[in-house]
Amino acid sequence: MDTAAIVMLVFGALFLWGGLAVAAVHYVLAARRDARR
Amino acid sequence: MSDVEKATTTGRDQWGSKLGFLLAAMGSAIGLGNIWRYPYVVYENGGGAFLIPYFVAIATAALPILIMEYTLGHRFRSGAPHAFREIRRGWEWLGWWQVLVAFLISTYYVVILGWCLAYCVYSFGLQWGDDTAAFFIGDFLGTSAGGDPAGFWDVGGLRWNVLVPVVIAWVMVYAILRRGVARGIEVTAKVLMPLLVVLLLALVVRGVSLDGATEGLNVLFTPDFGALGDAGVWIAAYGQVFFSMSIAFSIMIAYASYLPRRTDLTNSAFVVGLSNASFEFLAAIGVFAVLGFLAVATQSAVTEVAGTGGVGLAFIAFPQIINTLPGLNSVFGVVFFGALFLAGVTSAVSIMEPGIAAVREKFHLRRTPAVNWICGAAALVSLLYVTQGGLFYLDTADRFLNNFGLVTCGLAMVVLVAWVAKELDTLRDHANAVSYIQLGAWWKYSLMYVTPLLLGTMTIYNLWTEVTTPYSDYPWSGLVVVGWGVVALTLVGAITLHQVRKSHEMHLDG
Repeated sequence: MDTAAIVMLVFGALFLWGGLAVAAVHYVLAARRDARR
Repeated sequence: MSDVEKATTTGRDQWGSKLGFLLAAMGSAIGLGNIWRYPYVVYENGGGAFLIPYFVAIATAALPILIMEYTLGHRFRSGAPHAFREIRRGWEWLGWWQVLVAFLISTYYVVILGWCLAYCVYSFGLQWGDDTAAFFIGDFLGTSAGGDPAGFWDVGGLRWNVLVPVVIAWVMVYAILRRGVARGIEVTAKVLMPLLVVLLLALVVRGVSLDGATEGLNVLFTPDFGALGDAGVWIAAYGQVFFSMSIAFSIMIAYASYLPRRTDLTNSAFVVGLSNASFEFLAAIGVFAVLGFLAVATQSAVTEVAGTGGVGLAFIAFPQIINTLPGLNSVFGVVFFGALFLAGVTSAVSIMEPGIAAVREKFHLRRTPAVNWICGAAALVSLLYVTQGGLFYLDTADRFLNNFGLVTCGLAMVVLVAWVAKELDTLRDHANAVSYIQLGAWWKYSLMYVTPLLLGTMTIYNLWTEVTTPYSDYPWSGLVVVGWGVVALTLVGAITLHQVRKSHEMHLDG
């Protein structure tokens, strides 16, 4: 694959899948905090 | 007391769990368009460079509108008509308008699910033959005049080979909806969403392992940063996130109305929005990997075999790709059309739910009669798309309901809520009271300025395109009746429903 294409693929993957992972972890932690209350 | 038990005692449906709601909302957002539309929008609008306006659009339009709809549903504990009526007594029509647009979209959406089911069967033995276009247009749909727009008004008879799978799809959708929110929609989402992800991963792994996959991925991701200066690319990015996230359908208002009081609305929107975007990004990799394979196998350029996406990609290009695969062709076909079907069925169910919720609230109906009425009426209308002229009507209705029904509904909703009722501060306070992520100026200004500006521009752009160029060379009479007529019907129907039986309306206390 061309370097420019690889860079954009990694950029998209990091933003979307990374963002999703962060949001999901945040959601789970918040739910646990709620459950402890 | 469990959530379901609480729902029973209050008389209002409720999700059995927050995870169930998240999966159902993801199932609603992730649909056919994620697989057959998004890859082409990226490819036609600057390749990898498109990701920049796409991310901006997610942050400034998709997530803000999604959060607003969750908050409307959660705050007013009702479907769209009642929620808008709670904001202003005279705005119930706006909710009905969204509900009717969603209802009419469901009438052809389930027909496409029937096509997917039929193609799952045709995958065995590759029954579509070598000329996949002729098979789809002629042998399968029996489209009037061989698909020539001149045959638009040649309705013809019902296509029994299409009707049977469509009936099966309707029975499945009906059965899910009849079982209710927790036992039907939620359970289905919990089973089908993980299965869909597994099927998509299988497609992607197979796709990228094929010869020529990198050719396709180069075409998809090589950035053309010059395209970022083109306003059309930015409009395409906002259009993509708007159509992809199930917003302005009134779906998310209805879904959020079934949530327990204490639910993190803002983070839920982030999880659902990013899941949807992540899924379509993955689907784009799979689709262009196999298109690269087809290009190499037929010694053509990827741009030549790519076509235009949509129905043509799924039912003409993909069967051709499946024919060309070195092995396990039928299995790949079943997996691909199965994935399309699973993506579509959770979306179809969600498109029908706002109508069911709204009818129940307005006319004091229990769930079963409401489901019977809504599914029965939608199934009857869908027969029109099972005729020999069905492809013309489906294509036209889809074009106008999306470009004018959904976009103008979204524009009206944002302008009325943000500018006329000035409800954003109240809604923000509500969302912040139940959410860990606190909404700030970003959310309010996105909804006040960015979203109306972009939706307004899209409306004018779509209007100009439609007036200057007849869509798909269809006759003007067809576009007026099936296109503009259907959009007008939703608005007239909404105003009519707003007027009827006001004295008998149900007031939910959640």
